[in-house]
Amino acid sequence: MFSLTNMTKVYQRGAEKVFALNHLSLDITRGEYVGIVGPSGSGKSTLMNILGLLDVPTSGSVSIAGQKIEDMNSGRQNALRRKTIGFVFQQFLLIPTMTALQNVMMPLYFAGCPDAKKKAMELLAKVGLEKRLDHLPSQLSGGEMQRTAIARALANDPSVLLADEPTGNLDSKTADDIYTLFGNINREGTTIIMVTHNRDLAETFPRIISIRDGRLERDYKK
Amino acid sequence: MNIFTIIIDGLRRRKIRTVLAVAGIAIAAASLFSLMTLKQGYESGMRSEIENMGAQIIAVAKGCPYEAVAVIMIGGQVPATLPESVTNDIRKIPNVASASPNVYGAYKYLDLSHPVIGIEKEELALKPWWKIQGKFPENENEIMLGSVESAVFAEKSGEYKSIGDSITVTAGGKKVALKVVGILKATGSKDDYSTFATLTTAQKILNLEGRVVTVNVRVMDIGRIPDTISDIEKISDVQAVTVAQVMGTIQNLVKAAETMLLMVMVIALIIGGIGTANTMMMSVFERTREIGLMKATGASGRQIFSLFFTEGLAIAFAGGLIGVIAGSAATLGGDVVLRNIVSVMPSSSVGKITIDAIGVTLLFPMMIGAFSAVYPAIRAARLNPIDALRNE
Repeated sequence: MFSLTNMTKVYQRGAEKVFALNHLSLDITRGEYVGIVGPSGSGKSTLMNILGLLDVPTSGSVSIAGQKIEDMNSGRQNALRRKTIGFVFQQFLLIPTMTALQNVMMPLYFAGCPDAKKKAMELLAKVGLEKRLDHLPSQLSGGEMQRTAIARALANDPSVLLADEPTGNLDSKTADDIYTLFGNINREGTTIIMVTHNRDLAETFPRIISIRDGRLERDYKK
Repeated sequence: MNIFTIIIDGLRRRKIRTVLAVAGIAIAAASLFSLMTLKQGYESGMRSEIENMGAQIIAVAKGCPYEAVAVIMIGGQVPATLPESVTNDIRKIPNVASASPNVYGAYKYLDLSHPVIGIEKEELALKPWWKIQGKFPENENEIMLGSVESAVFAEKSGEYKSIGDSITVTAGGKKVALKVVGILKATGSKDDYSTFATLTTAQKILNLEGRVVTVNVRVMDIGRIPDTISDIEKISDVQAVTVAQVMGTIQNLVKAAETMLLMVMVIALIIGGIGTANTMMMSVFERTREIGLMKATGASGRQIFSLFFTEGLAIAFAGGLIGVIAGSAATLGGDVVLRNIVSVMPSSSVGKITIDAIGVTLLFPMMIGAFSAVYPAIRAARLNPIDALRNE
């Protein structure tokens, strides 16, 4: 699914060059469930941005679903992202004035999906929110907001879900429910890559990638 | 869901700013709309008044001929007169097909002043569209009433009901009984508000014996009008103008006022556009994360651009639409207001709403809206999703 070879990302901070990612090589195959751990500033977010086609590496090679992203213009990158990748954020990032249903319909609208409403209703039913379609985010609990965000991430049938600390704002009971949901989604064949600070939780993942100072510290598969 | 679900959601979140931006454009658009419609209504009203005169050249006493003709057209009184003999002098000029002398004045009846026009029967040839019920006056102290005058007199005076009855009026300081022998059917011009009598009758009741106010001339060959005018002006104290010149003068006056006002309107609309640009820019800044999210969930730069661009157009369109509605009200009311301010007004209402004015009032704000939305929309489209999502 993902193939990173000798990938480096350098930021310019004043006169200083910061290596956010330093000659990183990594392969992730379709259907994996991967946890990414590491202290803050280790380069986790940069890695997620590159995997999500939101950023490009300074050097090295990245291919996603067999396509080299450095050969693509931004329009094709955009199309590949829309088809392949769904994002789940720590802060949910729902549009506060739109209902759960409208929030899920938005990516379908951008993709030009003809049956957006039906599809969005199915997705919300899948995450257990079939009775919350017309609720605004402010009328939903934290867990329900994140479920809505997951339904939105699944809108265009992505092969990968990228989740950046999806339970960071939730209590542990709710967080467990969300992990169960991710587990179910993974069993249906969707690749899941999740950044987490929770080492205990990460230990339960089939594969853990640990990053420190932009380098691969440990890549552990069960 | 379509593009408007997202746009309306965005606009609803900043109601007051949206309303203010729309109002800024609507006020300018409404002014533009009423200016255009009132100007068009005024011009077409004046043109039809002139066409109703039926003459091509009008001879008047020396003075300001344009003012004289304009005042006559709206039924006012001109102080300067010509000797009646001028009519025959004009008839002798080559290329003159007909010359008909007129006097204009007013009498008092039912405590109001009413315009009276003295004409000879040959004037009827100049007005083939006139339909007369009864007959045209032939004898002394006979009159024909315009349709509106007839209706008002029949309702308010005790003595007059219809043709055959007389009215007792005050004119030239004395009382005189005038017998109504005809009623002119509605023409849609100031003739409906006029009283017609023979030249002799009008001269007598207005104390203008042997005098005429205008001589209305029709020519045989329109191409030789300039020669005919210079021939007419050889007669002492006589000045001649063509109907086209009068119209041209009125149009020039209207145009000068219009150009100045139009510039003010355009500036007002540009200010409205700057208001729109401002609210759009604020919208882009406030919704940075949302734009980042939209991009992350698959929106292309072009889709984001059209989202914000359409939002700007929507504000401008709403402004234009409200402008047309408010402007229509202002135009219909404007006729009443103008009548109290402007001395030379056509008898038909100048408040006419035209398709052109609606088109311009809708399209021009849209252009302004497009200009003001382009930059904020480009800014939104170019936002880097990583920076946008990081924005807390």
